[in-house]
Amino acid sequence: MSELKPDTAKAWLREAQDLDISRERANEIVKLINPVADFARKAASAVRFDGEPANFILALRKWSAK
Amino acid sequence: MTNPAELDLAGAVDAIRSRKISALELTEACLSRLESAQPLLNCAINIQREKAIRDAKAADAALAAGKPPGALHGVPLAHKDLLYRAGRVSTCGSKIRRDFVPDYTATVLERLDAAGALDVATLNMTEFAYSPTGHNVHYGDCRNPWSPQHIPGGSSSGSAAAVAAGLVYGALGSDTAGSIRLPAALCGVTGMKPTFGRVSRYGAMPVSFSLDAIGPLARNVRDCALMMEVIDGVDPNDPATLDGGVGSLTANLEAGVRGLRIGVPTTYFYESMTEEVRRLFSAVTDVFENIGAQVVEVAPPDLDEVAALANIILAVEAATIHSEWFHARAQDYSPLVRARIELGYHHPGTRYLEALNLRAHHLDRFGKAVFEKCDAMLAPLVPIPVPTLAETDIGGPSAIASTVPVLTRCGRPINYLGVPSLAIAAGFTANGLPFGVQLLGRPFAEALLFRIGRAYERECGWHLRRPPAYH
Repeated sequence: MSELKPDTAKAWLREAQDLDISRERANEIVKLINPVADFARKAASAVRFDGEPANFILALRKWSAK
Repeated sequence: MTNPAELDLAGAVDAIRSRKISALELTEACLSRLESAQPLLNCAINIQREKAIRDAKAADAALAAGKPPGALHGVPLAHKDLLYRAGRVSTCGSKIRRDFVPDYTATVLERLDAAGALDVATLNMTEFAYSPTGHNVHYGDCRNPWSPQHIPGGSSSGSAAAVAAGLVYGALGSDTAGSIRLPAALCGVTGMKPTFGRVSRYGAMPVSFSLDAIGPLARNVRDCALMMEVIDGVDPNDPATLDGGVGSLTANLEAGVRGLRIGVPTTYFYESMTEEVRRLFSAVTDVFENIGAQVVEVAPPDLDEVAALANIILAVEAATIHSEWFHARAQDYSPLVRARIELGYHHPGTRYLEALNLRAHHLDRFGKAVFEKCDAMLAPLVPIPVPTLAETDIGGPSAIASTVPVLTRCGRPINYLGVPSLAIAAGFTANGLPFGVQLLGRPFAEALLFRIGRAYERECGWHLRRPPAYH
């Protein structure tokens, strides 16, 4: 989480200067992204990507209507 | 004398084939209704009267010459203005593409052309398909035919409004996080978001390569299925298309639901839901029990995580697609769309790839929890009664966190999972606006969803109601 704390947001957001994002807007972005990032971290921690292809198309076929 | 306004798509096809009405008569009636509704509804961006009349005359001439009619011969349709047609402006609801003229035609439009359908207008949409309400600062807000003070839903706002008002017999929309199903529900029509890969996206301005789906909106289930039968199938120009769709989508429409297991979720979909909507949703489950389905509870797992992962994919892919314009013409986006695209530049690449890689895992978990217990799942689509334009005027970034998630919560995870979802009309709330629900199925189970949806609409008849101002 440390990289997303509001007070460090502007430094962290690599695109910020390029997009001319103000510190206020950077903090807003962080507030919007943080909850999403928390869920994503939780989801990723539940799965180990190791040795097995994570193929969405195969999963679609596996569950498809016969 | 056949009254064009009373026909549905299937009826219009039959009427033309049996020479009860000509394509020209039908087209002139649709154009007249479109033009008279436009000042209030604002559902069209470009009504192509001359082209439509020319094409209708050609359709009549072909029939008179004995040429075998296509599946939708001579029937006027119109589509969301992000589907490209060579030589015609496709604004994508944006200022940036106000003058964009593609030099090729979307595969879905080519397939409708080949089936003999007429394309009479481009329809309003939210800017770059990026909002669930129907507001558009560049071309004016689209309005709900049931009440001009209320939103039609988005992003396929014009498609839903035009079909609900009976201005055309069907329309294509696109759905990245609910953009077909949401406006279909809010306007009281039927909308299908097909399985990921079932319908080509070639020639459609993308929002998110991994989540986008093109699908039909129509006045009832059969009409939706008829359009799907024309547009689905593998397309070499869209490498994401799959050959999973097999067989007719209409052959078993009247088979009913006796013996089928309809799952009802116990989690996720009820957040922010009003008591009134909860009662209406409960009534829908009662109907399915009454017509012979076995209603079972299911607990789809992790949908908050799934929605978050969908959010990441959508944000990053949209930011990528818009990168050049975003740096060069940021001032030409509305504040809302600019603010939402901006989010995509701030996710690490690893998070985006994790979100993509986790799709198989989450579909597997969803399948075990849902598809091993039921044939299809009935789920809420919009947790609140249709709001007004004023209530949802999300002009700036600060409203994104409150308004957008409420409207897209029930639809968003479905695009990540890639499964098909059919929105059907399911009643009205006390404010007189439509209420809709969604049916979810296994990948490529569109035919079953149409069959279940048809059984419900046959029992309840909500799809037969028309907005009073557009009878």
